[in-house]
Amino acid sequence: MLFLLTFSSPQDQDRFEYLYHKYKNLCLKKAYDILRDYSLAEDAVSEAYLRVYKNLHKIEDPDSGRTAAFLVTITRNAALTMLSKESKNWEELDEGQEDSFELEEFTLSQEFARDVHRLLDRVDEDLRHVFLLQFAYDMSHKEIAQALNISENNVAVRLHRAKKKLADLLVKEGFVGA
Amino acid sequence: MPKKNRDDLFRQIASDYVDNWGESLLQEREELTRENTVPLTPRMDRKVLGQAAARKRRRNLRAAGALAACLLLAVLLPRMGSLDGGSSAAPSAEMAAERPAENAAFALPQDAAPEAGEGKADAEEHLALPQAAPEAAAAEEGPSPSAPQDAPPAFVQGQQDLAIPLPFVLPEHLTVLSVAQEEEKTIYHLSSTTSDEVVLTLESTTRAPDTQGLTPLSINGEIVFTSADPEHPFLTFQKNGALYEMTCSSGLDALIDLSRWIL
Repeated sequence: MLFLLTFSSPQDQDRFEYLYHKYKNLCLKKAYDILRDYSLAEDAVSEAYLRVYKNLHKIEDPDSGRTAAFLVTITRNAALTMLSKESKNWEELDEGQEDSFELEEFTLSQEFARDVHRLLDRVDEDLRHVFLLQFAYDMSHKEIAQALNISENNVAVRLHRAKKKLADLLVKEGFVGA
Repeated sequence: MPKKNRDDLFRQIASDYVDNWGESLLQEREELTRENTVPLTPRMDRKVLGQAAARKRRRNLRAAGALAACLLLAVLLPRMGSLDGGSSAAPSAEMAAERPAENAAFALPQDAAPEAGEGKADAEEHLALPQAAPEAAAAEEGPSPSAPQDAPPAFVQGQQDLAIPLPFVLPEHLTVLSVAQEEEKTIYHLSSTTSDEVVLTLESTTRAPDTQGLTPLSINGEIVFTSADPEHPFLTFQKNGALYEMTCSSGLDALIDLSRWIL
């Protein structure tokens, strides 16, 4: 049975091709917005889709907005990575650094949702991608590392920074108390 | 705020965010499709779809290789077990041998006959798989209702360890009726849906068949020796260290068909 699961099913291939044809133009535009070069944008989209291929199981409904957001997240990340060839020096995560922020109890209401989304837009995009893949798509550090082509340690560092940044913004904008 | 609650909050924020963002992306996609402003991308299409197909092929090849290795092990291990004494190769046969059969033979008791049809179906399922333990299958099956009353003797206790497993998967129209051991020879009585019973004798030896009075015949590039005597059709050949001898009262054709299947 395990072997049968290991085989790529025709449905997987069909699903992948469906996703590709449906969203490739959107992804290409998003990559072009960053790279301003169609040839580079094509490379970024190609790279992104090959990463998506490994995470097909994360896609429940190919027609949903969540799927579009997932593909665009991976594509924009691939484009941003191409844009900054020189990799940033992500420092090691100190143990004491982890979760070194506090938030009061807070429940997101519809009333505040839009404002909170704007806050999240103010988080650096490379941090936001990791944050979204972790919390919206419930991906493990390992899966995120594969999808974004970064090390698991980078995932942990970026995730911590994203959470810290968002927490700071939530406090600063008065949504929650520290 | 406890870490779990904080993570729940982040999860809610992230989930709402992608839902909203995703909806706006879908609208943007619709507009792109309507405007049709994105250039054609044959290079990207070839690259993405080609690489995805290549990955699929590699993945399937790896899975097929692993599956083939397991099947090979499944076939080889029972044989190795039988070479080592073979007691582990036929647990069902051993269990059957422990049944209260006073005559030391381990055929099913006659009062089990109403269930024997079911048992036969089970046995056929076993035979569809690689012939890991045909003696066990035969022991499980016992004399079925369709078996003639003068069916040949089943194993004598202790002899089942000497049995040579069937080195091939039986064709669909044949099932093992019983197995017997005579010194170095294992005798399979095969019930056929297309002919009379086939008696196949296997002997583990490199000795060539005694061809005196027999007619050579080429089957699948291998030479077999036959006797078309209507009273006693007979076919024999040597393959992979085993001497095959088979007879069938229906005639030589059934034997040739089986040989073609084996060879």
